[in-house]
Amino acid sequence: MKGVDGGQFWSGLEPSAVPAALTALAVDHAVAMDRPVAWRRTWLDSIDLRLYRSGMALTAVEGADGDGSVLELSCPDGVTVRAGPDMLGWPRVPARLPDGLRPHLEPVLGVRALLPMVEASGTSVTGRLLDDEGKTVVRLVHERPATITGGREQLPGGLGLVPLRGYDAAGERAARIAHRAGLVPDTPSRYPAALRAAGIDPDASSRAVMEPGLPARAAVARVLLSFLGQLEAAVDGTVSDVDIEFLHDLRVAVRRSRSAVKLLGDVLPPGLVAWAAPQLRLLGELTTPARDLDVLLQELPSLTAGLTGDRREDVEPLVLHLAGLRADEQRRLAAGLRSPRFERFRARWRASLLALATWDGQPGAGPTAAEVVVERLDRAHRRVLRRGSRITDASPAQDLHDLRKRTKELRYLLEVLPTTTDPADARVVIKELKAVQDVLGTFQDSETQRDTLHSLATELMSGDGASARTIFAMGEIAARLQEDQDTSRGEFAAVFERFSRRSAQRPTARATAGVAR
Amino acid sequence: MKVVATYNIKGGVGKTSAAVNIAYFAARDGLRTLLWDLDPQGSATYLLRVKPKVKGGGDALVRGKRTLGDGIKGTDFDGLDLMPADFSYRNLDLDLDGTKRPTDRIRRLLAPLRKEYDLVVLDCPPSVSLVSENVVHATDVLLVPLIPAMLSVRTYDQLIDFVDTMPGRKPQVLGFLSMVDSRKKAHRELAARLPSDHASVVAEAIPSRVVIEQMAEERAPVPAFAPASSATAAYEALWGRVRSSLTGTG
Repeated sequence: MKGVDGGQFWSGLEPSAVPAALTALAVDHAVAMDRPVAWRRTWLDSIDLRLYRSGMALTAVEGADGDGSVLELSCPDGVTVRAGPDMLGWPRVPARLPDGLRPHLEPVLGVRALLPMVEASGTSVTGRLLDDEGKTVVRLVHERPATITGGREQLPGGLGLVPLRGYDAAGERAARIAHRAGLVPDTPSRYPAALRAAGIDPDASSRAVMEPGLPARAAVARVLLSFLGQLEAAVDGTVSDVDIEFLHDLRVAVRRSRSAVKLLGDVLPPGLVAWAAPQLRLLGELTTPARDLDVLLQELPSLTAGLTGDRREDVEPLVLHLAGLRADEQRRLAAGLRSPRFERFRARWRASLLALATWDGQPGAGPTAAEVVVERLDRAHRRVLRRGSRITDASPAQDLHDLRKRTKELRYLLEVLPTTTDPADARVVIKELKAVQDVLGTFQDSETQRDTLHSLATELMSGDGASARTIFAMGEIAARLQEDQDTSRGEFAAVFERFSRRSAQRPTARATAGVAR
Repeated sequence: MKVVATYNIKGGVGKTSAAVNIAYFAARDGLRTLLWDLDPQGSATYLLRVKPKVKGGGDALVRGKRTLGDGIKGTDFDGLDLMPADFSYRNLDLDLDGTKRPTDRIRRLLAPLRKEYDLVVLDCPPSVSLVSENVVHATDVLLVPLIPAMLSVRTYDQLIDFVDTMPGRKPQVLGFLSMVDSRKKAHRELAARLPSDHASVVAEAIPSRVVIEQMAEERAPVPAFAPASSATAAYEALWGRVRSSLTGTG
């Protein structure tokens, strides 16, 4: 499969469209075609399709003699960057990508690893449109329908048209002919088409939303099922430690589930809630130590960069110690997620929710989702306002931590707002709420990390006999974290006042009024 | 961006064949290459199957009404583009004479292409003129084909003197023997002697071969239709020499 750099790719669901276009092109020009060439390629992306969402596509094109793959990155500006031959496998974090690709991919991927998303194999034929001098004016790539590995659908065939420099008019004429033959412009990388052929809808929203007209019990069960799906999707990546975001995704799914059970669980059978709530809490607790270490390891370079003098070597024993702890925690976490207990929880939780999520359409099945959400949102909103307004400069840290939990609950409720709600209103409230959460997040993370450093210092001194320089460096980092925490406390009042004011102008209850009616 | 020119005062000595084949090898080696056919006869243009037509002609180029980029055509070979010849180039001397700094015009026309190409190959018309002065000013390596004859050597010496007396920036001059018929004793002797007598004449020589003449029938560089021929090997060796000379130029 040869790329169509600088040209346009045309495809059509109708298998006859490409041959028809080639026949029509042969009326205007002599057409020279080469022999068919077999190809196999893999489209790579992060699990949350960051490349797709950034308008990029990365493919590994297998070499003919098995000596590695050529990596081709299509950038949003139409530029193609190639690297290879590449012999390493997937998944792979950005730091382990070839030098030529890293600067393009790291800003988009962050810490996310690249995974094979779609693999396909097929044949393509290159060719040329010739003018009356026998000169190539447009290059052709005829891709025949390709087989998606493990999929039932085929990647539709298509035609790449690449006018040579100075032959734009011939290229435009060829494009008009392709269009008349029933072909439509497609992405040269074929990534969106490949995703769809593999049964992945890249534009589908992963957001779980309450369906307002449903009985609240069915609607809540469906939202919880969606959260369970997100949780399950993150399990394998967390166990295999593909990248640290899998664990983060898993934790978010657990937290959302816990919030929904806490705030909306009264519409579910009490016995189910009494069983699920502690299970979800334990699951959350299982993930916390590994995540805390991930965050600290991630932030350590920037914290270290602020040390006086070049002291990176001083913290090296700390980094090694943290990496060891993190490996231990990862093993414990993986064992927990592979345990029969976790499997039983998943199976029972799914079966229970599935049973509750169905509704036969009969009336009298209790309050609707809209009625319940409006009331709960209002209550959660008032709770945040009440607790937040009590925070002063002298408030204990625990009060801010508690407020952070309440803001998360409010945020999750806002996120499951039915789609009929005015999205502008919800966005404004979420934006201001997010600002509050950011401040509270920095406040709590700084404290957690400082506490971790204190206990690590004790461990290092008694265990490995860390040098005084390491302990001093850790002390300096701890002092910086204290400054960060003090700063966020100082910022809290203004940020919270803004949230109170803006959310009062757009009360959440009013934002959902349309749903309640 | 480096600039190589194939140049000789005499015609029919293998300038165009060398320019086309060297440009082909440069592109094959991954250099983004532009071949500019400055000869109004348009032989390089013909060999690469491009129509010898430049909108506005040489006058529009020289006067800045059009840029080189407007006229460049992609060839059938990856990485190799062509600025075609135009019959109006026969008046290029007059066109250049009517501009300010007439000996520097080609260099300035090439300047905007600096980021687009790694190598420009100029195929020059056979003459001593303002065009050739322009070429000498624009070039890093001046590649001079020499047919194995004493008169040809004399002309080469005159050319070296001409370049030496030029003010300002000077190219590196590389002479190479062209159309060498190893059946002829005189050719063999000159081919053996010339590189040792003239430090600027390289040992890589182009033999007289039918495949080189067949370029006009095939309308393609020799390696594209006769990859295993000795002519292909000779042009490749010559390109290797030019390439190493280019790395030594500033």
